[in-house]
Amino acid sequence: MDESSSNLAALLHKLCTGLSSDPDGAYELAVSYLSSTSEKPRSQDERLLCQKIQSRLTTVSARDADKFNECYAKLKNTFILKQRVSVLTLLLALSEAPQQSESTHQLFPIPQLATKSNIGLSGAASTSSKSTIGSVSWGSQGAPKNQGSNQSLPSNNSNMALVLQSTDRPNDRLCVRDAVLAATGVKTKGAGGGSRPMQALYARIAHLGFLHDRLKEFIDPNSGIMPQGLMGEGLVASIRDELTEYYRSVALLQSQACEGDGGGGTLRRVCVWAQEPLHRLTWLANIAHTAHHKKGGELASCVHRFVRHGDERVATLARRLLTALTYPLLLMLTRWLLHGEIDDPYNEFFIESRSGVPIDRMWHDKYRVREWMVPSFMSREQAAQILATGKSVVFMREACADEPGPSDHAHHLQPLLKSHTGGQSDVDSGTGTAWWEAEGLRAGVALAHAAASQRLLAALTTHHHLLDHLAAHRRYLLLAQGDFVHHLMTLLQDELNKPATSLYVHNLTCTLEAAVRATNAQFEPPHVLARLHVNLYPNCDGRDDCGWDVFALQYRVDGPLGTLFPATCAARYRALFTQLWRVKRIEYSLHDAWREHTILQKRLKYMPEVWSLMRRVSCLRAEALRLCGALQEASCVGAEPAWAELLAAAGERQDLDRLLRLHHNALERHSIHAMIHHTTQELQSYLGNVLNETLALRSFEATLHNGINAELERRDRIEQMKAERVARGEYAFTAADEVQDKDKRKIFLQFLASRKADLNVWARTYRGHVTTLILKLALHAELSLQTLAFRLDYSDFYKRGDAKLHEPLTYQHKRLSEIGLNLARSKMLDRTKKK
Amino acid sequence: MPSEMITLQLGQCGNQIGFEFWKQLCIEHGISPEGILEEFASAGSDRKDVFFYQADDDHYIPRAVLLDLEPRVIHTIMNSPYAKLYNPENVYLSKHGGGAGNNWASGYAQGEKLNEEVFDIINREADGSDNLEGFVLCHSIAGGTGSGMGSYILEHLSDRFPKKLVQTYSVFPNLDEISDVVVQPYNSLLTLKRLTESADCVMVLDNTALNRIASDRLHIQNPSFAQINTLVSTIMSASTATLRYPSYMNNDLISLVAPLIPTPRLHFLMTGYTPLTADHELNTAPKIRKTTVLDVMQRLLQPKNMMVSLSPDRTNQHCYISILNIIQGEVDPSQVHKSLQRIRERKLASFIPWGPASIQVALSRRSPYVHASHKVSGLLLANHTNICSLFDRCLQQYDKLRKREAFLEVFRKEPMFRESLEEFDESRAVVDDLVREYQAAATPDYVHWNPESSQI
Repeated sequence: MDESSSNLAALLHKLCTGLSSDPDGAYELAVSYLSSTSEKPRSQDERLLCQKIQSRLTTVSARDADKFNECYAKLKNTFILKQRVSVLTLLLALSEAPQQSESTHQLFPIPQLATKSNIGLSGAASTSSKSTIGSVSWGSQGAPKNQGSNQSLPSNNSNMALVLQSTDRPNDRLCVRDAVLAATGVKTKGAGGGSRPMQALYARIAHLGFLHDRLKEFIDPNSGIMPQGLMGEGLVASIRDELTEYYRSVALLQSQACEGDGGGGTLRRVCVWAQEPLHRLTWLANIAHTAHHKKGGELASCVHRFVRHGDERVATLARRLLTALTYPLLLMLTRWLLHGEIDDPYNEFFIESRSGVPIDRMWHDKYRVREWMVPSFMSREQAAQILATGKSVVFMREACADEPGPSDHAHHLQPLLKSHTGGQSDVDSGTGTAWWEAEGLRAGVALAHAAASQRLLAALTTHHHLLDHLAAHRRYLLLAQGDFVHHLMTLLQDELNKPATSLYVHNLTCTLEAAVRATNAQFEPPHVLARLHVNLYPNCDGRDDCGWDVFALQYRVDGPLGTLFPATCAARYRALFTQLWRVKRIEYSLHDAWREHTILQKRLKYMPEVWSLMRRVSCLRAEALRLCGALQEASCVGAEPAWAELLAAAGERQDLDRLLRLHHNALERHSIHAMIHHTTQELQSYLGNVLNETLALRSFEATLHNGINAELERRDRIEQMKAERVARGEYAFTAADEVQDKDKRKIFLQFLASRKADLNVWARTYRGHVTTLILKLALHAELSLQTLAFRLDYSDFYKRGDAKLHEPLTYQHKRLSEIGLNLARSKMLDRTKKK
Repeated sequence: MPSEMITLQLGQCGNQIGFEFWKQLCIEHGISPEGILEEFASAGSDRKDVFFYQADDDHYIPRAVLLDLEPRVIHTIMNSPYAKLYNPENVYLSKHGGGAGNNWASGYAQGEKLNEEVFDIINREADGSDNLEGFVLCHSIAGGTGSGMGSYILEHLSDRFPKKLVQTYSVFPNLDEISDVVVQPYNSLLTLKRLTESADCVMVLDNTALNRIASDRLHIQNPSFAQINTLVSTIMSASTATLRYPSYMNNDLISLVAPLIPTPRLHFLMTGYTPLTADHELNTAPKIRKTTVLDVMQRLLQPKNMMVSLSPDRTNQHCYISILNIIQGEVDPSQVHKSLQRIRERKLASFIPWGPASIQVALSRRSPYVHASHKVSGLLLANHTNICSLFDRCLQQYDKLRKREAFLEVFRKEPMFRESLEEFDESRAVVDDLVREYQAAATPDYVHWNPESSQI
């Protein structure tokens, strides 16, 4: 090369600077083209070339060949192009190039720097990569890009092999080697030399090394940041696979870049090659970074976040990693769903099992969802379904001693099972989707859940008479079997009036049995009657209770049913029973008083002095009776819809969790209406006052009736005595008798007067309590209690008597004001609309 | 089985309505006319034992005592398909069979004479029950047997069974038409006294209103006894529904009537029922209309559905003492509350001023064996102060007759009236007191009301 050539180089550079934004690149490219022609042996015959081109074109189309002949003739006649041979050679070479660079699926671009045997090697490399890389999953869109990147290396043609005749060539080659080493994280001395663009390129390639190191650290068990557990291992293994592929790619690069003296590439080419790995390693590192110290479902969620990445390449990468790492999860999941077993040595599964839980709490406490371990591709609801499905299986096995054939709900899990037996190949071929994103997962889990719960409910209903027991709780503990309750109360009345200490359960049990025999309870199936017991629950505060205070019916459930009726539930039932029984008993005693009064009334014809008092008592009693009635209506009818829903759900054999929820709900409703709910504590005490006063009325009446009866008997005796005396012919009534009678009558009148005073006091107290109760009910947030307030004072009687109950606080007013508010609101809306 | 009720059917009317009642109960409980449980009927959901008991061969026998002084109606019953239903020992027919001649005094006297035999039957029936709740007496107050003999039995039931409730279904005469029983006002007055003093609860069935309902509501031109009695049996079966189908509340008679009757003498209840359908309508063109709880509860408060014809309340001061609605059918409990609100907002019912009052609602099941053409049906049991207008009319008619001293000879024939007619005056005083007590119950100071002071 002489002066003219260096001149040429300077001119070329100038041209490139003028034309291209990347003068260095363009220059390099231009030089490579030009130098290749310069090296070209000129012996190549022009005619031979033309023939070659022509034969090539005729294979495609004859017209093209004709056109070429035409053009070639023109070319020959012009003198602008001097080096026709070179131009033709170039054109031929260009026409051949695209055919050779076939698209290849590969993880990392196969380095194709510049080697003379490039064509053969390239083919071999691509096929080998295809056959050895186990888990290639470039999407269809990944391929063209890849191809593009290969195409951008126009060095396939041996004719144009890069031989840069620059002075610093050894230095450059060293630099490339360093860069390639740096890509695997090996530090070399002397790196970073060279021009600034070189340094920039080098830095980019070296970044690969950094990323590589981080990944390496991530998968290194000694580093301490490697994720734990089986799923962590899954992730590590698949990252290791990625790295292995990367190494292969780097090795190929190295062999090409440093091969012999004539081959090798420039830093720039290595850099072009590095684009893909850089992207991939960056995202791998990102994923690995977020996965630090995580395990199990959390890890899966973490990786799953990347599946939603907008960049398809990232999504594909993450998807592949996720499939690999969730494989253990799939195994655990299927095992749990089919056999209810948890094999989870690293606590990775999103369902955990606790030990030492008694069988009756099994359903509630033994298993639970670890919220943070639920992979994000699974909804909370799905997790709950999975939990319930497995629990159902366990429940059937443990509690019902009835092992279901796994095929029972297994067929709903087909999509899952299929992917876990042959999933890998599916993913490989690119046709199947991974199990965790399969459409069938959601539906399959839901169906399996439905099937398993249906089966469980069927077992509970048929073998364990769930429906019967539910109904029995309502009938006997919540007093819905009215005839039985009434008769039991009649039979127990005398016994329960005794002090609590003198009661014995066995006596009461006999009475219970008698009540059962005499009422419709006798038609209950034996498994219900066997569970119905009486019990005494003495208060611990040392009060002198009477039998009424300590008596309660009890319904004993055990075995699997204990799940639906756990001990807490039994306590609630007892509280409800106590309250309902109390109201019922008060009502019963008022009925007794009513009956006594009607009997007594028939004898009062000649005792007008008691009429007024009796009427007053009677009216007040009616008032109290009405209140008892309204309370019972509210407490029993109010919960009716909740019960209906529960029984319907049980009848349809819906899942146990739903039943538990509905059962809980029904009890809540009952508790609110019976005012023993935790939100009605205040009301409970007011109601207690009212009920106590009502009982006081009953004893007041007993005293009154006794007094009147005694007086009636005395008068009867006098009449009898008179009749006897008259029969004997004596004076019927002596003066002494008359005085005595007068005294007695006076005493009786005094008795009546004091009773009357008592009654007035009582009435004031009672109405005060009732008014307060109504007021508090009306102010309570619970709508049905406001309703009760409305019904207790339906005719506004208490409102008339007490200013406190006036407008602003009562339910009626609230309702009306709400209507008013709504009206105003709708008017406002109308106005704004008009505007 | 506790809370049993024994039904006593007296006289022509009593036996006729009783017959319809048992027919209805048999259908509702799935019992065949021979007393055998039908195959489709099952045990456990209803309480048949309140009104029936089982013989040794398990067939069901009504706890009913059929009493009459003349054979006609009882013979009809005994020739009907239901003949085998009754216990033949409980069917008592006076041996001389001459009846009471529509004369209260004659019925009363015969009741006295037959007292041993009749109470033997009743005692036996009472002994056969576990925990007898009370008696139901079906009779008319206008005739001879039902009113006279009924009165005797009423007086003595409370002596012999002081702790048992006595409820009567008493048919009041039709005042719209001239009765062929000329002494009807006497009979009514004398019976009313016993109903006031000896019964615990009287369900007033007013023939005037029943006929009006049959012609106006059911479009029957000349309603027969059987058609009227079907109405009555509907009322009777609905008002006993809560006793026969156990639920939370109102499972015995006392819990049904005690809240309705605040003081012992105000125990005359009126009834209403809706929707009513006559048999002939069912067969030809059944009018199916939409029934809702609100609809039913509102209709029940309309006078035209009431089985008692009350004089218009001119002073507009009469009011309800208490109301119980027994609603049967598919009822959404939340609807009940809405209906109550609507009724109060529209002020469809006015209540006593001297105490709290409300419309109680008992939701009851319906027989699964009877096809109901309506989704919801309702019975009203109400204690209304204006019922005194009915008694007042009785008094007026009595006074008219008494002023003329008309037809008193037939009474004077009987020992009770041989000496004097004091019994009439006494009865009048009792009924008059009752009227005034009901009037007083509409005023705010009823509680402090004194019968003597208002007499002056």
